[in-house]
Amino acid sequence: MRMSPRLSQNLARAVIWASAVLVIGLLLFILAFILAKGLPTLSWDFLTQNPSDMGRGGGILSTIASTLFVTLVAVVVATPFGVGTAFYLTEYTREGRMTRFIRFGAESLAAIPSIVYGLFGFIFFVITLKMGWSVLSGGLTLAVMILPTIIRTSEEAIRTVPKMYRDVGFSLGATKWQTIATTVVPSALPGIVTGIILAIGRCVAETAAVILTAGSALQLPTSLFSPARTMAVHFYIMAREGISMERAYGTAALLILLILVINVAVNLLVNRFVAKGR
Amino acid sequence: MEESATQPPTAATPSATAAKLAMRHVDFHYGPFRALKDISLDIHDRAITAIIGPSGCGKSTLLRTFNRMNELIPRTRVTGDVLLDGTGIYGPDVDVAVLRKRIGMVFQRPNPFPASIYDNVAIGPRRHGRKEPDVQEIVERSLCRAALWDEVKDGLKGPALALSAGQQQLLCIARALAVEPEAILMDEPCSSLDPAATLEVEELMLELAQEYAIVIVTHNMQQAARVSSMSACMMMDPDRAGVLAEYDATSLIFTNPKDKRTEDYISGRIG
Ligand SMILES: Nc1ncnc2c1ncn2[C@@H]1O[C@H](COP(=O)(O)OP(=O)(O)OP(=O)(O)O)[C@@H](O)[C@H]1O
Ligand SMILES: [Mg+2]
Repeated sequence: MRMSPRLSQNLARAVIWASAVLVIGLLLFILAFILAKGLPTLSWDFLTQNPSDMGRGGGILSTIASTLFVTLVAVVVATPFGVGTAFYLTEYTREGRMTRFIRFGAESLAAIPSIVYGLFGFIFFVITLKMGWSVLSGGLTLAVMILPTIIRTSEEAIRTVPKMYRDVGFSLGATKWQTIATTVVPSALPGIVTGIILAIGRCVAETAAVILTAGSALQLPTSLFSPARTMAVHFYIMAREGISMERAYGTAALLILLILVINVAVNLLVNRFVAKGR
Repeated sequence: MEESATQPPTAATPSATAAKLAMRHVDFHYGPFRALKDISLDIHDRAITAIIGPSGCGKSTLLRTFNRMNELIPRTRVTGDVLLDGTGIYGPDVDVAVLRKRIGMVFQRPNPFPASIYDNVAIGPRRHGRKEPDVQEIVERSLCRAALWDEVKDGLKGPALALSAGQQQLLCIARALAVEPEAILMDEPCSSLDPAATLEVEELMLELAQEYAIVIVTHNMQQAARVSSMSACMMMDPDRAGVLAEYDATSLIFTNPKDKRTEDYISGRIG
């Protein structure tokens, strides 16, 4: 039995359309569901008060602060290493066994489930280095986790800078370092920043890796060595232990809004990047 | 510039015969492949020298040997002497950055940076440590020299990529001029331009030839005949190595070539 070309074409189109509608529909449904349940809880008090009574009362201020601190540590630590590695791989070495090895390492790191990072962070940072459950342990664990993302996106951004620009830089009498600093870095910057924002999104949303390394204390962290409970962990504990579904949804709503904002920022940046690269 | 636009450009005559650039028995290798074989020639100051020859015979390689751009490609090797004002440029104590500042380059495709017109021209002087009031003056002077000032003076902060292809190439020339070079290398600078823009660039080259040594690679015989005073015709040996078949005054090369291959090439039988 043979289908007419027109029929198969229409069928293909219908299938594509249906999957697109399904995906968008699912996304909108989840969004609407969480927001409908969570938004009523989101109030000024909820955002500015610390939790009380294990989270049954009060707000989520300390978990917002914890999320911020842990993410900040992760990004501050991972960015120089990640971007540095990307520049090293693209500008300062020739393709060879070494670059292949580093790249293979980064790809493998990217494929590891986050709970394994959590376990590693727990054994290495929390126990061996005696950092305890802390903002620092959590941040460093997340730093290791997002390193591959930052390396890969930065590397791609650097590679898309046309070789011609480098040649022009050299032909104007610039040294290698100057050429990279004044022509490669500005052109690659939007791409690199995009990667960092993506990494921030992963940090904000992460639970498994932080619950094992930053802990789940509800106090407002006061130093790098304070234990901390991020929003994602808070949501997880509240929901799992049935402490307060209402507050769990409130936290989730804020988390979702935050991640939406981050994704929109990435999209805007990427678009600007593409428009600029003519 | 406006008045001369209506007249066809005429070839500049060599006013000085001192060799600005020179090669002596130069061989160039890409890995095991010899791309240039025993090249010797003098490039006159304040004149335009055209390098012509069939595709792949090593014209670009020759040009890029003058400002050591070839050594950015891994596993390349130069032997023989390349001289700027009589001094070897591949010597151990030559600062490549200074050398490239002295010898400017314009590329085949107009390639301004995705930045403003002003910043494109300013990048060289800034990099060489000039400060803002100076930079501003250099930018204006370079754009004037490149015959672009009148067209862009009201939109210096506008994006360079919004200019037409011809204007972009003039901008690239201005960018090269802004580092105050002594010689300018151009690799097929008009090959992606329309005839009107080509004419503009040619006029500019003739203008600039009063001050600079200019070397231009071109596939366009008419262009070589229009602008250059000296022509180097390159050919490929059977082993694909580029050789200098003939080097002489352009008028002689085009009317009375001594080399059989040059004659065939110019009359369009090869290449
Ligand atoms: N990066 C490179 N690595 C290896 N071989 C190269 C490289 N660049 C050029 N070649 C070879 O060197 C020879 C000369 O190349 P070149 O680009 O100088 O020729 P050309 O005369 O400028 O050609 P065209 O007119 O097409 O621009 C060619 O055989 C080319 O294949
Ligand atoms: Mg070429």
